Amino acid sequence: MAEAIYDALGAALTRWTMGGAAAPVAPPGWAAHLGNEAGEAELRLLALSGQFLGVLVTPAPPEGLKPLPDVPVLVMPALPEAQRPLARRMLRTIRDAGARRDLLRFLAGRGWTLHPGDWMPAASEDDIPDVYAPWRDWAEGSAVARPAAGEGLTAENWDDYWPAARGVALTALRRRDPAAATALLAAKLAGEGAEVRLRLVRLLATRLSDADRSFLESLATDRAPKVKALAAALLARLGYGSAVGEEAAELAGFFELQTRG
Amino acid sequence: MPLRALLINRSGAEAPAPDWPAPEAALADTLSAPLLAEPWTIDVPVLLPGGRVAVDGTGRAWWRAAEGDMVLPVAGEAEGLIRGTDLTRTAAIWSGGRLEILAAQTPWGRIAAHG
Repeated sequence: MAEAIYDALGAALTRWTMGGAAAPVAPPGWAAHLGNEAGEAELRLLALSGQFLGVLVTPAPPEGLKPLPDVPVLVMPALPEAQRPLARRMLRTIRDAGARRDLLRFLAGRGWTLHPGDWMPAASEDDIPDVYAPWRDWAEGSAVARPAAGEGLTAENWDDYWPAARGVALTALRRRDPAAATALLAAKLAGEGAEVRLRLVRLLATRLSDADRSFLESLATDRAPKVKALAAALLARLGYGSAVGEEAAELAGFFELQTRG
Repeated sequence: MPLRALLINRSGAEAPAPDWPAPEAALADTLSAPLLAEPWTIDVPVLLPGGRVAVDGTGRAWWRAAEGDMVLPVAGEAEGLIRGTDLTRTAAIWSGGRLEILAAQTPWGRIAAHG
């Protein structure tokens, strides 16, 4: 019976949508209760329809509902429950990203992280402590399983890493073995998007040396202007590049050598 | 003149947070009973059993019960931790077409849906 009423309501809703009277097409069994006065009948039908739809009808979900992965537990513990209200008040008063970054660094420096119920980073927030990298990856919606603990970043497991975790691993590799990091970038950089390439090339600023020259010069043909510009800037730091001599001469022109005394 | 007391110091271990009560009735009855009693009701406060937020192909959030097949559409985006953890108990408002999640008991502790 509920299905018959639901099907009949379709015609009533269509009539109302068109601005017409729906009482003549009321569901079976309701017509006798609507009365003879047209306006009153419409109101009664509206009340009965609302009650029926509210009590007996719930929206049906589409096929293929998927739960997201669990928010990962970070290597540092979240603030104790007693400190969370203070952290929430501070987060509400913070207006710019720099102040929030300072708060995150202050906490991370003392071995704590914010509780995920109070704050979580966006996937694009790369200027926050590395401890939050798993949450950035979760926000990006990646569902790729992480490599086993202790397994270093290599060309073979490059795609197994979440993007933010990969950046953290590459940063650590660059500090430990700069040549290996450069070789890894040379092998995998071409397969990444422009923004990712820019972030990864920026990592070469750490322990930059002449050994990176050939790779940086190869980036002169990169598709992204920002990547090319960053590579040129890093080469200039090493003293290479077509404009190095010209810029040095121009800067020297701003200064005047004099003797004193 | 009345005096005002200020909390200067607090000592002693905090009492553990009590578990949220289990819903007393089946969820379908919880949603429909208030409306049957008072047809003009717009918002119905509900305490949901264990469940989890899932998303459909368009990114829209739905609350899905851990047991049974009850699924309810969630109002808004339901961003953050509310999407990425089991919800042992959920306090929400059912408006007849959408579920507005207010707070939930989770393995991370009690969380509020709006900060």
